[in-house]
Amino acid sequence: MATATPQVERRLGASGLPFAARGLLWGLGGFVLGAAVVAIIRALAGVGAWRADQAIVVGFLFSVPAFVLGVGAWETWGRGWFGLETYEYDPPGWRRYFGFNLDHKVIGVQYLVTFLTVFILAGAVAMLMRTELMDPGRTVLGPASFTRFMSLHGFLMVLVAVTAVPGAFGNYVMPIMVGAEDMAFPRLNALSFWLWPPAILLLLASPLVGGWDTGWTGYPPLASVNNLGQIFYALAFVVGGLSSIVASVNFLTTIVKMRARGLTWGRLPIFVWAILLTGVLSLFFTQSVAVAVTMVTLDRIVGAAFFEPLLGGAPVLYQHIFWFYSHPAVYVMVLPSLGVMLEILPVFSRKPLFAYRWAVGGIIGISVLSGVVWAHHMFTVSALSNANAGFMLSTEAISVPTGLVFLSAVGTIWRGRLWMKVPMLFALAMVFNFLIGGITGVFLSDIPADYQLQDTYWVVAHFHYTIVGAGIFGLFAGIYYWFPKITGRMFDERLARVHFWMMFVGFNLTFLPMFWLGLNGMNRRIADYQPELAPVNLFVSLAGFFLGASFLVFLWNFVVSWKKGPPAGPNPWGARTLEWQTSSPPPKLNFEGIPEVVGDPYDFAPDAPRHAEIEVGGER
Amino acid sequence: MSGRRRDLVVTGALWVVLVIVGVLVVRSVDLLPALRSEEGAEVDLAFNTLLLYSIPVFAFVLAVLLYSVVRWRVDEPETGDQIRDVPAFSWGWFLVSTALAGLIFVTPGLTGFFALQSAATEEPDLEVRLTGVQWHWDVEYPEAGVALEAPQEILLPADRRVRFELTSADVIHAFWVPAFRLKQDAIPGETTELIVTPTEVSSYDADPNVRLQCAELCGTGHARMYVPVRVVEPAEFEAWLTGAAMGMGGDGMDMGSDGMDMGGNAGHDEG
Repeated sequence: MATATPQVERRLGASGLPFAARGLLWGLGGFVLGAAVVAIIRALAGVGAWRADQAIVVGFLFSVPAFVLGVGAWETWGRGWFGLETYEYDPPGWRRYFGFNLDHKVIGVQYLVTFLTVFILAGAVAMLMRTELMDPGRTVLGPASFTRFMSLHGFLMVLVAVTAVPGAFGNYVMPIMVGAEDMAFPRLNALSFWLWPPAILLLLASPLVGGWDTGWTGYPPLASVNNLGQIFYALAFVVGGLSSIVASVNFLTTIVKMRARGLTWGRLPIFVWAILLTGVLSLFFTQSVAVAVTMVTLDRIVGAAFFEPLLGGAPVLYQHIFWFYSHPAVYVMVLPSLGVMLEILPVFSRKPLFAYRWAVGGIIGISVLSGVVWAHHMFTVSALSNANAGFMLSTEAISVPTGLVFLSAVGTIWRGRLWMKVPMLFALAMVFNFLIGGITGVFLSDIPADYQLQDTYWVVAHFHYTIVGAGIFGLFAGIYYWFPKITGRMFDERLARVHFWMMFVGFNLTFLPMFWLGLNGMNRRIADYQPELAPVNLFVSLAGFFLGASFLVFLWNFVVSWKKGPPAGPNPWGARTLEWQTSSPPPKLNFEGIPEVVGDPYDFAPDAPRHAEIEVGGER
Repeated sequence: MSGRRRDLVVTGALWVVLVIVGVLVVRSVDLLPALRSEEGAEVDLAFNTLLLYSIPVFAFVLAVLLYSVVRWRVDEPETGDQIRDVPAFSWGWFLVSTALAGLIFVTPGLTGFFALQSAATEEPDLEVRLTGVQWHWDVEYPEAGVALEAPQEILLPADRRVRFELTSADVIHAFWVPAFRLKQDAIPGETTELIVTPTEVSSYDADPNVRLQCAELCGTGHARMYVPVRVVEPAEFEAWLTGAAMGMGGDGMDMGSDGMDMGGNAGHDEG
């Protein structure tokens, strides 16, 4: 890594436009260049210079590297390729977050704030959807807008669920937990974050071209014939997927190679295990979805006909390739959060994590099995095909390792001393929510029951119980747990409790009735429904608005406490893992000395050895 | 009774109470709407069986959660009992959950699946071809030579085994009549099939779940892509079909394409 002189550091981004703004300019230039290349080739071929979809695809593919270079990759990375001196982007104050910063703690905060913003926007879209669904018939959006907003909501939330927890806490906390100074590849780490803004901006711009109406799953042939927004979706998926792959290489290398002395696999905090297996899943499976959406894009822009039945293509093939990633992806969404949950429960029960090895086995088992269950999303493609039975078996088998996570959770709180601080409330709520999500998933894995439940609100309720009830609750559990570490300040406990209870009650009142709606003939992704279902839908909408309001409480607390909260001290929760053995926030290289792990991370016995000693200049 | 033992007994009792309450609730509340097909009985059986199995599982975790939160709640941090594992309990949990997964795979999973498969091999009494089109259904009764474009209603005979042949003219759609319980995608370039035996006379007006609803997102008009189904006595059906077949040759007995594009067959245009 290049070392920079202090003068250069000040020059880099310390004044003038933040690098993020320069990145946008460069990105725009890249876009124009890419579109121009297409126009020139087309003009030379004599087929007319302008074709919007081709220009957008190539333009965007040019604009992404241009954007990344513009936000500072040029100075910190690109110059080195030409034998020039490189500089590190590290201005003081808020500016550090607006450029190609290599510090994993800065990148963790960038991820957290970015995806909280996306979460709030996509949540606002959900409020619009529930307004439309307050009563039958047309309310505010009408069917065309509803379907597009539904697609946007779904896809943005999928990105939040896949990225927020590993992006924020995998980056900020995990390296400190393993006693490392930074991630293994800091520049790749910055790259993984800065690939996201172009993808997110593209999605937010998609309504300008009419959005897309295939939901987040993007099935052809519908995806081959609808609005230009479908291409925005595909490009965002490819670039976001690239970010996931880059990040997972980094997570895996950091966990395998950079653990502190003494941090054996048997002492590894459970959250690090969860991030490790999440990294394995992302690395193995993400390219599959990129292939699927790229094939659809090629069908559209160059007439490839992979999925065009009239030309010998097979539309169902898309679903296989898509779900080959997208089922493991739902475990990418929940495993890190389950890791957060199992990290919090021992700390606030003052007990070791119960059945640690079983829990690790559970996380590994979920990850292995998640690769062989994809076609359970497709039972109704060919309802009586024998192959469905195999996928029913593998899907129901996954309940066993998932059960081991519950074993560890309930075993940990049993005979503990439950200190009901806000992170603990969220962790306990996750056990409850994920239990409902898991059990209702078993119904969907059963082929006969799935005939009725597939593509109904039962599915909507089920996946919100798993992905929001566990995944997003885990995000907020992690935010409250590590907020003092990241900001050095304590949040307002009272407001945090208000947020928790509003979110927990609002969430359950919103999604529990949806199971009933699904059973009673309400299919998913619809702008309108049978009038008989109106009262329950009105109730769901009102509960949904209440749930939405809970995040206003959170936002207020989050912003005000970050600026003015009382100092939290290094270890307000009395936790043992390494991130609590350093100051809040930690110094640039995380520790004042070199940490050595000497004990268990969850041994709360009064006479237990510490988890780690920090060696400062030979002294402990 | 030692404190340890009391904790186990009280939690066990709480579990039993929750299971009893759960069973009483699912027995008194019918979650599923009225069933109107023979084949759908397998679906309901599977659903209700799983519902019954899930009660003790749900109740167990809930009992531990509730008891622990009430019993061991503290206001200031305090050291808990340093239990790392109880191997007999963990092994028991693993074996019981494996056995449960195996059980539900065999029944209601495989048993229901095989029952549906074997029902599908029996000879049908009537063939109906359905073509999904953005955003309506075209219906054909090939034996009678009747083809209806975007009809306002689909007639079926009660107690007759109907074999649907499904395809699509554009994007993927899916056949779903909630009261029949069965679902099957209609895929362009392919023909899929589904066999259903409506059990009784019924109509959309009496039960909104007696409708053919598209269940696979197919674009803007997806929500409205449904058509009421009317199940009538076989004799009435035959009479109607004969009339419709004559109508095909001559004047306006066909059930009328109204050229809807957004509102589907149902005809409520919401613009």
